[in-house]
Amino acid sequence: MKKINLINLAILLFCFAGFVSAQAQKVEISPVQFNTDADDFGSVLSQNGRFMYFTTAISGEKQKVFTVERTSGGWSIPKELGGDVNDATQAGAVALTPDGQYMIFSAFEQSVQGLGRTDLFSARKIDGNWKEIRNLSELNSSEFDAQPTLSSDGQTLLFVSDRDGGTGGTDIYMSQRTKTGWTKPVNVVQLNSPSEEMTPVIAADNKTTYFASNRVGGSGGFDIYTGVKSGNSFDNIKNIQSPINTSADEYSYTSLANSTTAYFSRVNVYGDLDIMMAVPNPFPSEPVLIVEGIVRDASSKDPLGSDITITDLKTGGKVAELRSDDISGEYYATLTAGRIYSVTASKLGYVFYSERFEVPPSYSGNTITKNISLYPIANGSTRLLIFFDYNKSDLQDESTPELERIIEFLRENPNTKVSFEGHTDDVGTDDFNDKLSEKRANSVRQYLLQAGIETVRVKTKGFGKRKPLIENKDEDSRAQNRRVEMKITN
Amino acid sequence: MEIKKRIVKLNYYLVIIKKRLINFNIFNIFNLLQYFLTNLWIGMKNKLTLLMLLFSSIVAYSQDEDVLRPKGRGINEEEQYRNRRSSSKTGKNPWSYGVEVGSNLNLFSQSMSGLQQDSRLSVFESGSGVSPFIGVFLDYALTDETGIQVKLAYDQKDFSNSKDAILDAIGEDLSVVDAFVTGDYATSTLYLTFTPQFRWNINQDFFLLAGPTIHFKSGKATQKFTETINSPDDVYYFLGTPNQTRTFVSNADNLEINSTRVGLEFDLGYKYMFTPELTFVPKIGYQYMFTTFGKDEKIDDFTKYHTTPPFPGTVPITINSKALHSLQFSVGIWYNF
Repeated sequence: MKKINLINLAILLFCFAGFVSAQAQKVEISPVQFNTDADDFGSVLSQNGRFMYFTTAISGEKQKVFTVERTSGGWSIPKELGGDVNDATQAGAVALTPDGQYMIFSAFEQSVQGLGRTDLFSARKIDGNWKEIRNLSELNSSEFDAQPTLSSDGQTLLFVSDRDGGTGGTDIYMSQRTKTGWTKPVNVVQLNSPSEEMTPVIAADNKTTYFASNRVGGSGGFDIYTGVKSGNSFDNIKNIQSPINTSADEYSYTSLANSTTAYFSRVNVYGDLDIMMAVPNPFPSEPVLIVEGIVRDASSKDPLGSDITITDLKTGGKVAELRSDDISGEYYATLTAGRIYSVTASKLGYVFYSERFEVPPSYSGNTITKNISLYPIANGSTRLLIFFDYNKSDLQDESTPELERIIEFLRENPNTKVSFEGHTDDVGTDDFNDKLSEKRANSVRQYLLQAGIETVRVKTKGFGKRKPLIENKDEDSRAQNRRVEMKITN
Repeated sequence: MEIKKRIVKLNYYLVIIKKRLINFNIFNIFNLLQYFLTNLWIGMKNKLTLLMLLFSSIVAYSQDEDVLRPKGRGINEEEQYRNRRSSSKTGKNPWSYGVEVGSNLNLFSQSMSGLQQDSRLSVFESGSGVSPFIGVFLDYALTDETGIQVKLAYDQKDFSNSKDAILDAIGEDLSVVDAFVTGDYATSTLYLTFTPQFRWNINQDFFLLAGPTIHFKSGKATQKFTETINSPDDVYYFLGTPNQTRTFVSNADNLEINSTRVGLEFDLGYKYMFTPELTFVPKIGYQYMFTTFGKDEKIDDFTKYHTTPPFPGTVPITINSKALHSLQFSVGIWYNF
């Protein structure tokens, strides 16, 4: 009798555990409110999640890129993308850089001449409209080239092509950004199969990758698969299963950084694609750190569109190159915790600005805000990110990116003359600090002269400890006072 | 550079036009023109490349690819898709039907030449009135934006007018006096209307309808004319007797009007979806009729019977251009099946 009761209890506990587990795993899937009765797919979120770009088929035929904006009442009414992107028979399946200022998109019969069938094109956001359409001929073939996705650092591009030499049907290809364009695309064999692969998406963590495939072993039609990117290779490929995958076709799985919501497209019973929302995202990417801010004119306080560079000061490598929005001045970039970075903003007619910031490995927040003010060149000044050893005037390696920026700035503004002013903290005698600050300023000058900058354009001055930025009351404030400033003297 | 850009643009539009005309086998003309325009700015040295590009693009058109499907949907899949869309959830079924009820604001006018001053007949120069209509319709969607709608309705057209006039009358002392009267008339007709229209959806909510409308007279048209003497109190008015009555009524039980009228109807509607199958549609429309309301006619005006020489003082009146147009307000229920 006792044995039977124990068995019943075990069954009950098993059922209860199953119920709790099912509740915990329950993923709510619902169509988004702006689906039309034609194809809606390829949703891409801007980094702040405020805008969604997606492709919709006007009258069930002509594909175009539309955007919706997040509002307090959900999503706004879809608006056709402004600019020249949709100037094509079919346009859509876009990829955005994290700053939302550069786009790669697919188009068939674009007004800009292509190489044959559907091609990849790029566009830039200028004053709110997408312009400067360029055929990415270094990536395109005479076959179908479409459905791009960009890594969060903007350096890696995946796209789909049915060009010769693939493993069957459409395959996923990869390319890396170079200074002038993109490297020759290579077939990503780890992701491809003899069947068709479509709609790759690299998540914000720059590791998690989603794509669609109709390979053998799926739930039917195209299913969503996930893989992990490590360098230029991918592993741990798996079908993300129910409830995302069904017997219908699923494509374009994407999620916003640090969000529990995922979006994907699914063919509905009427034969067209709807954008679906899945909460919580059953296959989220790793949390990422976002640095964001607004660039403004220091005098007028007007927002500025400027070039932003984020550098890993340890390696000297550029982590992100982006632009702040021409209208709002906003910028966004994805970072990894546990590193020291510099963020630099530059714009023609303005003195560039750099700031160092450190993100400890234990940093628990998701967002760091760095607002930037740029001074117009006329009589402008900026504090430089130049680093010296204690009581020495030798330039540390971490200073190199900033020194190179000064050189670029002086080359871009050949009539500009500058003065480097050295400052120290309050430790030591006046005489020692005066000499040290002069030496440090001179180290910067020497670096520039070696790079070919004319002698007459660069002057130096050492102020020692006489002009502290703030009161020298602790090590932090002393660190801020140890600095070299660049002033425009003409 | 600007010219080059424009040529590229024009070239693009030719590509689009060519695609649209591909089924008519006349796109070779466009090929030639496109080739010519392309050569304007690239030069002749790349002829071979251009021909290859042109050929590859022509091949591509026939595949009808899009940014998701490298080979398009395929003929069978496309057909299945169209069929599925035909039975879609948001009214994509090409067929729908419904009923609408509404009200006409009828606007009548006619030209009456030769009217005397303050004539008792001038009341008939114009009229207006409100009257109901009820109809059923069948709608067939040609595309997501366009369709054909055919409406059959019972459409009542009533109008009336009231106007003061000054008549010759005989006083108690048998002298001719001015009688101040008010004339009222009310006309009522009923039509069976047939209105096939082209529908164009301005956006998801608003649509326009435009097309011919044919009105067939149903039953008899009636008209009631009433004249009331306001002053003086005691007059002989035509054959009337003083103090007997101050109101004279004449009825036309079978007014002679055109039995068939043709015009154009324009409507602007708004769709409010109750359910995917059921849509509430308020509408405003205008019926402009080319056919006149009735035939031209000639009558005598004897408003100044006693004072217009030679006696009896009648004046011939010519009536033409009898126009009756209607502004329509309605609400309807559309059902998609």
